[in-house]
Amino acid sequence: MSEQTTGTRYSVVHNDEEQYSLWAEGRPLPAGWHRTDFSGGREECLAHIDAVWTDMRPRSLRVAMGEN
Amino acid sequence: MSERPTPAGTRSVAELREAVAAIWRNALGLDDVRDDCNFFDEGGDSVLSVEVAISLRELTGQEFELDILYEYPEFGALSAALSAGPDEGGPETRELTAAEERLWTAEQLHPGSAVYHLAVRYRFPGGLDVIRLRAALDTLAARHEALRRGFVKPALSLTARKASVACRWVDARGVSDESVRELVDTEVRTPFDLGRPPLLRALAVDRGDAGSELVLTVHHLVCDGVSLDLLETQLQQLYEDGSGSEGTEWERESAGRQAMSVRPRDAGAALDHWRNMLAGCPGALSLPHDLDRPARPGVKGAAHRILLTDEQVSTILSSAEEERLSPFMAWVAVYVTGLIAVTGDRDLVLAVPASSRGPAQAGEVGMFVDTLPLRFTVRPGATARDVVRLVRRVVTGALAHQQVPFQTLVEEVRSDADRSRAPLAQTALTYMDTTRCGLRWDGHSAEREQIGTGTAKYEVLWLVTRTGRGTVCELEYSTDLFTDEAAAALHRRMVAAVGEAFAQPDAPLPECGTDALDVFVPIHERVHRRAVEHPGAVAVRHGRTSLTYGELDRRASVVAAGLRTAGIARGAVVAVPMERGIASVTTCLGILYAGAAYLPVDIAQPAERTRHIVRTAATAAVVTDDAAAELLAEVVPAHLLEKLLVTDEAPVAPAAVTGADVAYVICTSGSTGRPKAVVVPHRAVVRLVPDADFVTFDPADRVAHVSNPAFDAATLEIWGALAGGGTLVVADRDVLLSPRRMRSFLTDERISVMFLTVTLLNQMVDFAPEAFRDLRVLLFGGEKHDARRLGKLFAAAPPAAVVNGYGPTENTTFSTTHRVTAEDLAEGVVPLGRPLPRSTAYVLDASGQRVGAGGTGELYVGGEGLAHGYLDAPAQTAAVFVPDPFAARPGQRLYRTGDQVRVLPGERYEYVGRLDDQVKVRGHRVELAEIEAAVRRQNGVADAVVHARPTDDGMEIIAFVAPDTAGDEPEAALDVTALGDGLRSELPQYMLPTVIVVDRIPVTANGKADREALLSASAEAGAGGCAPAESADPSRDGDPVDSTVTALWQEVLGTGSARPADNFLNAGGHSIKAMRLLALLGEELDVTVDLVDFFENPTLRGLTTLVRQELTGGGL
Repeated sequence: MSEQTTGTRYSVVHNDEEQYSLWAEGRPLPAGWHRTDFSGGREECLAHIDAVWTDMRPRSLRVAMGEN
Repeated sequence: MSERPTPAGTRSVAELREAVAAIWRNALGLDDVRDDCNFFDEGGDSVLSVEVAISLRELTGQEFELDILYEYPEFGALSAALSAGPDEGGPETRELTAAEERLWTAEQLHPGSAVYHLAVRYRFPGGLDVIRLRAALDTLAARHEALRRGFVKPALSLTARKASVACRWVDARGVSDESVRELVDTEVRTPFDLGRPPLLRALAVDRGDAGSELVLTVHHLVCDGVSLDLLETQLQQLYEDGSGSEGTEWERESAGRQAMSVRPRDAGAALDHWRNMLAGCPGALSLPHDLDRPARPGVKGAAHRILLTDEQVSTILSSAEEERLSPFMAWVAVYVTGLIAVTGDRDLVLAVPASSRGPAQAGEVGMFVDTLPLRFTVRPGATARDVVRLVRRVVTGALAHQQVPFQTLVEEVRSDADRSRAPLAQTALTYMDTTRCGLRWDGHSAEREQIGTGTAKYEVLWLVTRTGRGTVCELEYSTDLFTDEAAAALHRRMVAAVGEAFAQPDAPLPECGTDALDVFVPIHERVHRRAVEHPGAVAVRHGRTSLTYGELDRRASVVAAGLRTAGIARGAVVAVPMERGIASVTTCLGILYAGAAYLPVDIAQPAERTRHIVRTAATAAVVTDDAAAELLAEVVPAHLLEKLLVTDEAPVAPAAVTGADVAYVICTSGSTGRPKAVVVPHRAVVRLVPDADFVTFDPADRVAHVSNPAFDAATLEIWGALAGGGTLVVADRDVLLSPRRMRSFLTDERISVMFLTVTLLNQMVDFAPEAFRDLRVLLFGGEKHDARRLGKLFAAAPPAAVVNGYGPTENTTFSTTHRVTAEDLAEGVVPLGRPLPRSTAYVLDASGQRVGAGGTGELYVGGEGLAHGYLDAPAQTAAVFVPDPFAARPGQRLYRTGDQVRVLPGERYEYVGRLDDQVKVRGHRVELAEIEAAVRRQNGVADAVVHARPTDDGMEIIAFVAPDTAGDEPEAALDVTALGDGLRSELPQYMLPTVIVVDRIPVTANGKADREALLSASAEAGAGGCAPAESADPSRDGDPVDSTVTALWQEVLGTGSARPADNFLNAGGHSIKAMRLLALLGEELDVTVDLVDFFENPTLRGLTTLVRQELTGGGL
């Protein structure tokens, strides 16, 4: 894969559905997304997401299924 | 009245025109002179022109040149020039008012657009007296300064001393409505030259027996709603008796009627009011538009109209009347309620016009309207009556501080400007009462009708007009954002929601707009409803077996009950390793009835791959035979379908699920060397079918089920057919493998809708191009189209519609669709098309910026078709499902397709290629890395590079393999047959490569595999199979059958060699190439060889034997 790994720093972000993604630092974050306090290189961020995103169901689905 | 010539300055423009016309009539012997009469065409010559010029000098007292008729040969132009008179000093100039400045600024942004034209039409049953009309219009221009006003850069208004209103008179007797409509559209849309007053023009259309029409077009810079009332009244009086007072009781009343004008107060306090009011206001309105938002707001628009009866209106307005709101305020409350319902936004800003007309301007024509932003913050649980009260408070507050110009507020409030949206307010409301408007003369009356100018001032603007026939609600919308269908749906939904909200003014408004209004109906519930309505209709057919909706529903319920008993609950994933057929459809529906998700598994793939997929993605399986159960033993509990069907459990009703519940999981090739599982929610399925617009399914449809259930085109086939109440017709595998059988299948089964991968379509077009003639819709996709084959299809007997569907599994079968036309093929571009409803597509460059028309970038897709992600793969998911910076609703994601596309004009896209190593093989998505990993795992392999290259039969995959032995002859060291067997046990057939053994993998200077060198080496080797080449003379015994079979074998495989023991599958052959080979044999030797039989022993010798058997009539 030819990802741009040229030193761009990313934040780990999530939306209200608690779905995680990456967002380049310095770019204005789209509405409805929140930065976590984790940032780093692309691979570091993805590794962090692998560790913290343990239930991949959207939050609304968890709520609808009676969990929280 | 004397005929004596008098200077133009003292006579009216109309009198002057009439006098000039009289001179023309005399000189040319005409009965009638119209504006477009040309002096020389009507018989004038140079002598006559001088005589007329002299008469005109006498008439006007002006000493113009005697060649004036050469300069103005047309009557209209001549009389306009004469009435302008000599220059009596320059026009008066002044600075712009705030209201003018706002419009002037907008004009500079969109020069030459008709966005600020006011256009009205009056239809009269009889004729129009154009002479009187012209005179009346000119008198109006003389009377009202605004009608002599123009505007010039940088920002000045100038008022001419004289101005004559252009009035075209068109003879449209016997002309079609369509032509008249075009004429009127052109009239109202042609831009004014703002520097040349008057900014008013008229068009009179004589339609003979059908009466006549008068169209007035005036620029908003010089006219507002009250001015239009004034002009109407005075025009009527001037037309009727040539006089008319300058101000009547009605006009004064009209000017006072808009009680929106409040005397100025302290400007500082006013600004403070607005700062408080607008602090932190939202910069966007979450309108559900279906087109991509352009980088800058445009002004192209259209309107959708709904007529409300007085009865409907009084129901809607009753609570506002109880709260003593003016009609205008009442409609603001109605619109706010409607916007909440369709956007879900509870904090919104809406612009309204407010009159800035003081008492001194009561009878003056001009632009005296400010724009006020109204911000409404509606708490959860609020009722319609709460909104009414809020509106009263907000509007009165706004009016008390209205002297602050809108532009000032924009500059004050705007902080982080989103340049794709209008600042401050993206929507507006206007209200007008035209029950007393119109023109009445010569015993006829004509209502005032507004004419659209194909523009939109806002993303949406709601124009409410009370007329004598009821209340007209028009939603003017930006056609950059909305298709007509989407805007119409939005408008209808809004009006319906308003009706509901005000029918119960003390009940809370629906919690969240879009979701709360459209109760989500999952796909299995839709099938169940079909079954309840038409239990006897045929749901699925397979050969001679068919299943009705009633029986399908019953069986699915029983399966669901059995699964429930087995502990399968909502949220579980159940594997379905079955061939396509009635059993798999029943099972999938049963799994959905149980509230679980199905995982279709390709049974043709190697057992280990199946086990791996099921182990990682599912908690149970439903199988049809013991062999499959055995395969999955110790992987997951496998339930036999026939046992589930005889369970004693009471059938269960279809499970209630939300749009976010998972409907199915589909595995696709993964670049990490293992397949990845895409998790698709229910909302994504109904967004594809039945809600999509690229194809509709109805009960008369017979939809072919030809896709592998593990391929997501099956989603379209199965649920499209069943949710639409049609019949799903299952095609056997052998149908797909022979163009002749496919042709018979389509005819015999009367198929109306089908999907084919590009590879299969190409194959069909090569051998049976006319097979699709009776289809209603043929969809194709999965790979890039082949223009030559499409051309041949269109030249033969194309079906009614041919649709190109594009999209990754991560966005549910299709992301964009395009109906292919003959014009596309002529132009040589078949675009990917536009996004599906409730979906978006953006082309972005490497920095995440949108690419304009003509540019190339990566395609990102979003909307309701998006998968949740990859099962248990958070990092992989996060890497490609990224925040959507363009979404109307916050928190949305986009999927990076990895597809490189070119942006065509009109928001369409053309496929260019992949940005990575993914390829499409016969519709299947293949990551070369997955194949490479599998090749490297084989015994005796030191290194491998896998490459794909396009061929006429689709993509060909080549594995360059370096054996694990130094020094030995490479081919001796590696057991190629064992390698092929090893790969076949791990990879599905479509992923099997042609193996080329090389002694080492060459590398480039920067250490990467040198693909160029490998490819040129393979070209020299003649792209042979993995078996060592050995000389084989195709005609060694002179047998024509042998030589034909061998020659075609070599042709299809693209090889120069062939031995009787060569295995077709090891030599780069696959099922499509096999079909091609068998079809060619059919043409050459008139034999029909079954692919299934060929694959029993796919060697050259085996094939030759089969052909001989067929030729001797001994198939058995």
